[in-house]
Amino acid sequence: MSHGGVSERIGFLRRRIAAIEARDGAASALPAGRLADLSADLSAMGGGGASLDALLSAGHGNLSEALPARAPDAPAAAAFALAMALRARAARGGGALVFILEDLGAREFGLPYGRGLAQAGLDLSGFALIRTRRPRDTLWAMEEALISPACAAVVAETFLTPKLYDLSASRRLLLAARRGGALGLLAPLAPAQGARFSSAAGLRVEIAAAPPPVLPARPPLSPAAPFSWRLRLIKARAGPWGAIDPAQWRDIVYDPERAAFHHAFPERFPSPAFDRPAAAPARRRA
Amino acid sequence: MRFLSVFLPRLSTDRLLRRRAAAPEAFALYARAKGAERLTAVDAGARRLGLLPGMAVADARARCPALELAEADPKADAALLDALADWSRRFTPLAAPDAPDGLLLDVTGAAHLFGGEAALLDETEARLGAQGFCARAAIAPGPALARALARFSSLRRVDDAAPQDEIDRLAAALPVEALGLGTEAVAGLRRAGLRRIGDLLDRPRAPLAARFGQAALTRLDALTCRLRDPIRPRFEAPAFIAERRFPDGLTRREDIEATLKRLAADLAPLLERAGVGARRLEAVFYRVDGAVKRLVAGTSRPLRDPPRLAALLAERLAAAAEEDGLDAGYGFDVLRLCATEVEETTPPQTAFVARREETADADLGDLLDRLGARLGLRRVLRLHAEAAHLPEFAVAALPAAQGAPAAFPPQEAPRPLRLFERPESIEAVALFPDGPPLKFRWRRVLHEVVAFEGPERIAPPWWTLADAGPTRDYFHAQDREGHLFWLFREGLYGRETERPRWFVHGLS
Repeated sequence: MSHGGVSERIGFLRRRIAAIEARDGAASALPAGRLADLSADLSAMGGGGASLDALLSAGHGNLSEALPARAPDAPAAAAFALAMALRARAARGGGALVFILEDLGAREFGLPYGRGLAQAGLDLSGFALIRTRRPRDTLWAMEEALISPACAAVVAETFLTPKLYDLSASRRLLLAARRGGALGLLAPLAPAQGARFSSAAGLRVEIAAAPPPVLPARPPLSPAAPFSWRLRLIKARAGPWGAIDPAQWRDIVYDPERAAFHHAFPERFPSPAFDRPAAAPARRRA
Repeated sequence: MRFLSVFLPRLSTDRLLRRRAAAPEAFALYARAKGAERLTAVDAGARRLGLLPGMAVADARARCPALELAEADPKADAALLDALADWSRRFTPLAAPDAPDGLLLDVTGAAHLFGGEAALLDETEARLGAQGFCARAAIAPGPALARALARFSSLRRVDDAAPQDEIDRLAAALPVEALGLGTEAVAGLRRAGLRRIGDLLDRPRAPLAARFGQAALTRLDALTCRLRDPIRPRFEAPAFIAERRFPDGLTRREDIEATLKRLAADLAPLLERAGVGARRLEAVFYRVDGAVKRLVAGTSRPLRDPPRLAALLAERLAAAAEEDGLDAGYGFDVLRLCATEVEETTPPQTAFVARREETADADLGDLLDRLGARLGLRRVLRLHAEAAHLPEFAVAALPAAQGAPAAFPPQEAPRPLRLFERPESIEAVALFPDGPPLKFRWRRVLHEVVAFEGPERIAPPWWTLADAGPTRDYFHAQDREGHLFWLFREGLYGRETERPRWFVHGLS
């Protein structure tokens, strides 16, 4: 995604430089413990977040759940699920992406917007939007889509009840995903219900919106980068997740141009809107 | 040409009486006309007692105190007639309602399927009788003659090979009402002493035309089969039909699905011979008691593979069973599968290994067809880019059956991931009237803006519409909890409006 011609990649690097500079300069008001945490975190993750990316692209033929931490975080959780779907699609080298949403969800949080999806790196010629009336239809449509060999990833956002989405229902979805080789992503829209699910899903994360930039100055502050979230691990069946503290919230960012997840820096620094260079199309990757 | 006309003399009263266990002694319908209540239709019992349509309700009650009355409902009658025309399509695809009280069927080449024309007439009358309708049917070489015979003659059948003078002789015995002209014209004919069709046939045509108009002569020619006038069928007959009939109705869903499978296998060679594939399928279920149920399934590419067709219909059937229950009642005795829309298709060369993208496209098409059959075609969407400035018109969500979209053109300005179907009004506070928002209240929750980006000014298309609406200034805003909103202010302060309104248009 490009903001006024500056690629996300450059934006990320700028924030990173700003953070490093801040640590040496007067702005290094960070407590020492926090700084140690940060460096430990970075070293554990190989400094960049390649391993985090590997964790989040936990393979095809799997079922993952992205729960919102609180009710207003539901769009963020759905966007995270979409990012995981894009990641899975890129890893597979193509395939269709099916997005299923219910009428109630569309009324509450709006419909996926084609222009925004295209900026997120989605090829809309392989995208289908399915609108359902009820959670029961959503589960059915998700299973059908997962079985189909055409799909690389299926995202379903739904107002599920634990009664409807029990162990056997989620097992059905998991088996369908294994048969079709697609990644199934379920984004329940109601947080309180989500915590009580017991499902066969391989991965369950809790998602909250990334916190806004903090600085004493008033605007102009530009908003945090899109595709950034705070993530907490609730359950992981496979992979080296054991090294990660499940209770800890960590900030992550999705890079649409590389189709990869990486760590966001805990500090956030604004890049003033007027400080941006003019669009440089030659440097932007198509 | 063979035409079958059905006359339902007591359609309106039968409509109500056929639902009852025991018929009343006398029953009539009435309507209010010019301040007076008059009978519009009477049943057989009332007719025996001497009651006639057009009689005042008070007179009729005086004559027959036990008379039961109900209000006339011409709309329900018309709907019933349409339903009967649908039902009669079990005999031929070319069936038309013949308002107000009849049906007209083109049975050319269809009668032998029912054991001959006499048997077809018997079956029509018997089946309608079993549904509680008094019906008379007749077959003739022309629709007007068949219509007149069913209404005004005891003769039921005129042979196709009948010579013209034989037809003239038969028609001569009919009353002038058989022409189907209005009551005034009929009264005029009668006043002139012309009571039978024969009276008209004997006379020179020019004076008749001068006095009664060309329409009367046209009707006369139609009646004596000198003029071909086609019927107007209620639906266009589809080009590809497969059907099966059962002496006892099918009730179990497994049987119906198995039958649909065999119908799909019957339909496939027809499609293959014509080199086409079905884009829209219609399965029609004729219930024993006359109800007709239709299921429609669309496909995203021309299909003729029987298992695929059958799978699509099975999904549609399951959805119908969930929605309103495919009420089998006493069973379906005719099942018909039509390809109502077809498209030319070239068979894939199976000898070569198909390219990977092609099979992937086909797989996705099959998946979307299956989802569309179950959820409804309008719920399976693909997003197409449109050349429009207003964000809500820049993307069109079209049913998947309309084809795959092209890639989106690059968009410089950032757009949100989600857009509301219509912008939601908010109360916003800005530092100055054309400045960015400071805080806003959306869905009764107060959001404090800590960071924003904008404005991006988007004007509605003033070059096409004189009154296209106010200009919008869009902002990406983030509240204290980190949620991202896409807001806009409608109207330029001071130039377009004094009180700009704020909306939230999207989330990301």
